[in-house]
Amino acid sequence: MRRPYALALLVPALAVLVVFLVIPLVNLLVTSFHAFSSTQGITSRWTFENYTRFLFDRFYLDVLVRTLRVGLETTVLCALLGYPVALFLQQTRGATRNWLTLLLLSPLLVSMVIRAYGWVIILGRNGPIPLYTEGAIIVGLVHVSLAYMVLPVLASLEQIDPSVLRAAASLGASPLTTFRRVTLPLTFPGLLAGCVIVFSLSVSAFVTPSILGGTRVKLLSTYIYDQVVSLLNWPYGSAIGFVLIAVSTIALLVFSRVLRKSQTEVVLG
Amino acid sequence: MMRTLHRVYVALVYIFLIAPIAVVVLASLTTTNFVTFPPRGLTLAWYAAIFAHPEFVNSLLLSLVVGAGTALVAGTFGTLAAVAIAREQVIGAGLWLALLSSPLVIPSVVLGIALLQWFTIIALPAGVVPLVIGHTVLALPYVVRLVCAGLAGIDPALERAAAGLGATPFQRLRRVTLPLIAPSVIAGALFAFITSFDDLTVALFVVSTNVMTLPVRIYNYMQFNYDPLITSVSTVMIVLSIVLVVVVERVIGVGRLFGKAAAE
Amino acid sequence: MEQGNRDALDAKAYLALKGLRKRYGDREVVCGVDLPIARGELVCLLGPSGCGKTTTLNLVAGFAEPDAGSIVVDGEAVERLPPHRRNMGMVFQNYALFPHLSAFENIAFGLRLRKLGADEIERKVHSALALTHLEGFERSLPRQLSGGQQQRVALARALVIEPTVLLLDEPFSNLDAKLRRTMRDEVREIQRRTGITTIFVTHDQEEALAISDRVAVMSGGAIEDVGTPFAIYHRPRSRFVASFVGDLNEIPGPVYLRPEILDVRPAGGEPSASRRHLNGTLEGVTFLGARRRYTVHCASISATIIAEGAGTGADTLSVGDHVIVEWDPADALTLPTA
Repeated sequence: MRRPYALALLVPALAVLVVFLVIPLVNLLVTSFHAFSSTQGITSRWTFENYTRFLFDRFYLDVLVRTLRVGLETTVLCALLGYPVALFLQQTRGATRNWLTLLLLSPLLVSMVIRAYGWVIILGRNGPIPLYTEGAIIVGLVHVSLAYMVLPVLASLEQIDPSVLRAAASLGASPLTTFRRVTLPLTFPGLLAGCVIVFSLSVSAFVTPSILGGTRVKLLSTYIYDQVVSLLNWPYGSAIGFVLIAVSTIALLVFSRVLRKSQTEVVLG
Repeated sequence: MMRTLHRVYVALVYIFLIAPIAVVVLASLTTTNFVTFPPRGLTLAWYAAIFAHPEFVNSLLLSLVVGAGTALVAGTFGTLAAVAIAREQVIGAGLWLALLSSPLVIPSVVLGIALLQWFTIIALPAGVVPLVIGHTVLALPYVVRLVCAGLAGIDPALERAAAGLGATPFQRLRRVTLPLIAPSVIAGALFAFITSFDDLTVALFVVSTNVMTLPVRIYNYMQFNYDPLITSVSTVMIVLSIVLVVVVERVIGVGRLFGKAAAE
Repeated sequence: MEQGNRDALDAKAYLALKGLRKRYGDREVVCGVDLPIARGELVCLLGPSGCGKTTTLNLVAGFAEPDAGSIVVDGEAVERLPPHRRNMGMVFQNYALFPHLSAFENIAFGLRLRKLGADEIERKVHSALALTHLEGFERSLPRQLSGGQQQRVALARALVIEPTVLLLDEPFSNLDAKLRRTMRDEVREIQRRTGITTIFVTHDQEEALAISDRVAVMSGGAIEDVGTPFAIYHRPRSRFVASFVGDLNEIPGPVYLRPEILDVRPAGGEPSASRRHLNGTLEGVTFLGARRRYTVHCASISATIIAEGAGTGADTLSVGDHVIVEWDPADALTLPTA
């Protein structure tokens, strides 16, 4: 029988995910709806307060806003810095292009701990972007995320028919105008895909903000760590975790919506 | 002119990308007792010093074992799942693929605390097993996607020919499909190893004071120590990763696969 | 009155290609192309693939820079100008429409760059749409249009900017045979009406003969022969040109015979004194609709002759028949001695 056999192949992987991802997350979700007291720990009282706390907890709100801001700034920087790199790669051929792509991806081989530590050494306490600041975190995050921006943009650049660019030139478009009116709009989907990946990565990142932000600058992920490991406030910590998941998911949904809209609309000018 | 500016700019970006890694490697050669860049003097003393710190050696061994375990488990489970989805056209393939990709959308810190809580509930003590489990969860999406991509590149006529010649589904899998996707499977296993070897966030929640992977030990060490031992340990990690990738690439030629898969 | 071949047009050519050379690596792809073109003329660059015709067109358009030579438009040398400053409209083989813009916006693209007012753009685009019979398709995206419609948008887009020169690079090779013929007639008609100087690149000799004022046959990076379609066909300058433009039979002499001047009839009867003939065996008859093609093996010269006759009437000859191939010697091609 074909079908049961095929399902059997799925069982090991799915079992691992169900038992060690889905169930633990559900368990965590349940925890997030419990109240916490510093004397009793996790109580049995059900409540929404862990989720509504950001409405009146100033610190929490700051962390949330800061996380979104860092995510946004990292994304914008990666887009601005990464697009020209993708352009360059697309214009390069052969062995050089392969080496450059390899070089682009090679930092991903190295643990984020080591990469962040490298930035600790470079940035130092007294430089233009000192350690334990938002700027330091952004530098580290851009470093980690750049390749994830370059690759989707490169993919969409590859899809452009070169004679379309020649057509634009023959109609009087200078190279800059051709870029602005033809290349850029046509690579919009790739750029958007890159932005979503980078935003999700930056918002969820733990290692880089932890090492480069230290105790002074907290993002949601390090805030969660503090709550759970130091303060043992599991309900609150897990609630923040799910807020973090929600933020990423919303970004993804917004992206899909924008992408679909741009593809069905006829662009008039 | 524009082209030269472009080249200069790209060179600067690449320097930016390599800088922190190069700095760590070079700083490991310093003769000073504190981390400084550029290094003052050149010595391999800090590499020798690693052996004076058996906890680092043990952590390295643990990381290697856990990495190998993850490569094996995630590689096997992920390959089977990919075969089910891309080759056998199992019902609900889209749903399964989404589910298998779900770890990608979960922030690793959330996964970490969820696993910490769960392992406590099921009374699983810290050690190789929970680490392999946690890392397998992280790595499965990559293995599945890589192998699916590899499967997509196979001519379906080959399997039909085998079926026509009387091969049962198991025989087809073993003799036709698996050999053809071997490069993708190996690339997936490699990816799983690297993911596990480099991971900090999940490992941070699954360790105890005695059982610590190397990234965790480095992370803890750097909070309180300022000597260059970290840089030499880190360099060892970097070199090991590069050597592994180069070896696999020579044997299988998966360099290109990395580029394609990372783009997806 | 047809002119001879490769004669000097009057020095006031509107578009003049002078001594163009282009090398890629160690191969010279364009080796000294000279071609004066009069205002309003449609000249075809005709030749097999690899003859340099597309490279020559790219040199004129500015997508490649010549190693030597010049391109003069209305007295001004443009070979050093980048393509976007040459004001030449180009129609590409695969249309090259902007995928993210509607037909209207594709056509308006060049006009918007020239900063024309919205009303004027509206007017010009609509008249371009009317000219190419595309009314009603303004808002369609390229992927919603058929191949022929896309080609028309490409043509309208190139024409609407009122370029000095129109360049077409094998624009119909992706269309089916019937559409090809319709489109080329349309293009010719539009070209005549607008009076725009045009270079048309193609490997299809029928197309070249059908629409050109003059045809330049290219081979190995150089122009072998230039002339009106009639002159090229009936008074080719070289054997290459003769055999590329139309079919050609060569019999010892050498005498060159086009298939359509040959009559094939059953053997026997008086050979006419004023006509030449060959005896042979009919090897094949191919019915092509309007014409019939006969393949005759002539043992005396150990060669196979291709003859063409009308497709009307019943098949009177069958394979294996002894036949006579006849022609009027005045109809034979005379090539200049090498």
